[in-house]
Amino acid sequence: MIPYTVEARADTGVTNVTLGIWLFVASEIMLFGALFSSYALLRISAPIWPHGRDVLNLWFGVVNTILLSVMTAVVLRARAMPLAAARRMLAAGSLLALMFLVIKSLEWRGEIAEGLVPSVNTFFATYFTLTGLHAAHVIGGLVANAWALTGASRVGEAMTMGRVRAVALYWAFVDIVWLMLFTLFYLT
Amino acid sequence: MTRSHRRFVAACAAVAWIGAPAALAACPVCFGVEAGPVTDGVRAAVLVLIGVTTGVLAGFGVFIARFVRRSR
Repeated sequence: MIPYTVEARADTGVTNVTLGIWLFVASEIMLFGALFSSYALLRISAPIWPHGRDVLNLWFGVVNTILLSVMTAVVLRARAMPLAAARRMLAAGSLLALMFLVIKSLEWRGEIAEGLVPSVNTFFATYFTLTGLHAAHVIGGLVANAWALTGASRVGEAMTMGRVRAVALYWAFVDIVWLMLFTLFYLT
Repeated sequence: MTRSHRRFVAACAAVAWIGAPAALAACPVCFGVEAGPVTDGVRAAVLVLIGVTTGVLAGFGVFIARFVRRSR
């Protein structure tokens, strides 16, 4: 059994939590990499590909980009703060991520109401697949945030800060994926 | 890998390249097909996947190199 350590291990140079989250992020990169590869195949081989800004709501995308970037900055900043402040920052970040999901669901609702569903064309098929998977990752991040927040009183400061560092790394990954999705679907 | 091992691998690759070039043309479906949007798409998809995989493997490589350094 791998012991739960709060200090960096002498052999790896990092805590077990950090090592674990890096391995998880590596597997996530491969997952999204496969989907981006499929996107490249479908987009380049398609005879017609609509401009995202013509068929999607650019402002929803811009607001969501700002929300998620601020959220990531807040959570990354929480890593260097005392426990109480880090918990407040994590809670504020969770609120921003929740707002991201609300806006995303409003956007989807509008698109579906206009009949713009995945079966319309390949653009919308890839759009709903990739943004849907990304939204699932945002929901997963919210669950992780709740786990780090609610467990703080039980596991103590050192372990909670390890969790905060782990979720911060995860959110940075989720934000980078969103920036790529925003560029591919809304701007090009 | 010692120098003799590297030479052996390089010699095997050279023999395969010269002796059986068709065997190295990995994709019998795409090979020789006229360029078009589909082949461009496949090429882009392969490049994206190679880029992602190389990036992840490079990350693992850096991490393993870090292990080696720390073990000294």
